[in-house]
Amino acid sequence: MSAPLLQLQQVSKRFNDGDERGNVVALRDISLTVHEGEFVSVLGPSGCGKSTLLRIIAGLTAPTTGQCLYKGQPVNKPSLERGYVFQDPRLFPWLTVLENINLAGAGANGEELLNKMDLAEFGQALPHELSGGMARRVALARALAPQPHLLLLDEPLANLDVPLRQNLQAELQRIWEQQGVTCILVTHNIDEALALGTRLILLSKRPAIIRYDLALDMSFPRKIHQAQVAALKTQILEWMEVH
Amino acid sequence: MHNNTNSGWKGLVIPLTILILWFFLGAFGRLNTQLFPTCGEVWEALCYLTQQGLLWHHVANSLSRVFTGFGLAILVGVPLGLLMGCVPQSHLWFGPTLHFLRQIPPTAWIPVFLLWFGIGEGPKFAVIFYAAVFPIAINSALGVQQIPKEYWEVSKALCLTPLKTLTTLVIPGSYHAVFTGLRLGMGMSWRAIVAAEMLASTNGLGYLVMSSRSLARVDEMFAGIVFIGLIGMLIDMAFVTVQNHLIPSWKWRVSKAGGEDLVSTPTPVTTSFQKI
Repeated sequence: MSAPLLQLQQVSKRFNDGDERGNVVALRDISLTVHEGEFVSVLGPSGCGKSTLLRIIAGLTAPTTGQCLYKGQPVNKPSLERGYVFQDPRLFPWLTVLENINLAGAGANGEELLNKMDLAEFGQALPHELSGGMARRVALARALAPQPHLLLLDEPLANLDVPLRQNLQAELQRIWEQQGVTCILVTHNIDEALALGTRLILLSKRPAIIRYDLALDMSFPRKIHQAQVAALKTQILEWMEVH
Repeated sequence: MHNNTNSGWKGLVIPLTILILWFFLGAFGRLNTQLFPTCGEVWEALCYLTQQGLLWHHVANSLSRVFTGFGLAILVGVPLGLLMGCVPQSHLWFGPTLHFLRQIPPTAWIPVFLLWFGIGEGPKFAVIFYAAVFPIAINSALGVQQIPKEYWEVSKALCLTPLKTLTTLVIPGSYHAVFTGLRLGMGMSWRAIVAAEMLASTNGLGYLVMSSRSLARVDEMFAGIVFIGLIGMLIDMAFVTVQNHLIPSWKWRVSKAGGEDLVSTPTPVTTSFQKI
């Protein structure tokens, strides 16, 4: 087995009184090792601290205790090796689609990404001219432009219509397969977690601790009515109710 | 929003009423013309001053002073404001100081500026600068603070350099507010220059009004005052036109977790001094 790409060592996060969330423990003793090439689905109820976990990995937030190692080095600030896809697209409204994608300065492959994402004609469009699904694809392209090794996906499919969601889901899977980028997807949607992950981590309600960590070895593409997937879904739903 | 296309006449009702009232009071000899000239007298004074080229001479002098001082205020106020806006909790750091300084009317500084810069153009530039720099800096700072924190996070996650953050986020994200600041600053400096010219000058609209007083030319006094108001209004209208037509406005599109997309346009900061 290859050396771990990412290691979380007993990471806890507490938001103190100064924060609007009050004195809240969001994460407790999360230990997790992610290897290159994995697609880790992190599943947990809304507001359990999943996003916080992802933000710690990205280097956008520091853990209160414990540490996060990326390629053996402690994470203390964001890096272009770790791409972050926010839940909302957050495109800069005054920049064109292409400028948004090339924002990180990696340049050159912006056009290529546009083609891949089926957005070739929209390079010069402004974000407000895009539909919700298109804006998500641009946000995804922006995160992919600097060619990250690790892609952090913070509910990138939330609040999308079912067809769009499936579309983008297929897109994500293709990116993972073709580009060999390691992915961590945070979601509260079981179907999404099961459809994409090679591994599933189930978090409890706040403060989030890891309840289950299981390998998903079914072949792709997965259909939710496949017997194996359906059985797993029922099992996970039971687990989620218990905790 | 009201439909303003055909309601322009509403704004003319009051000035026209006053003008008509003024005209008839003058026509029936009800005005003490030592204190209050008639319409006709003011009109004649305006015509006389225009024909002599005096009016344009004064206007040009006042305008060139205002634009010089105003330009200096932009050079200092905009970068200063953007910088203040980028500092976390900037209102705690800069608020009290700015509050104190902007409560001092620019005209109160005239004696000091005369002492420091002599009796030439220096003190006038300084007065205009002082009048304009606060609204410009404060609005620039507020403009930066209005940028949603979600965008700052994007710039962090993408490891943008400070320069790139400035050009792709800070400047485009704040320039509506910056422009509002420029407009307010312009208004302030126009008012200040007239006051400055009343105290120490040999030309300009303020000088025109003040010197007519010593010559007991109440008609020229009024002509000067009317012209000060008109020019101030024209400058402001020019700013509004530029702001509405040349500066693109965009919508922030930030969705809150689990909610719908919140689409909002940043609100122009017009009376924003209280906030900082």
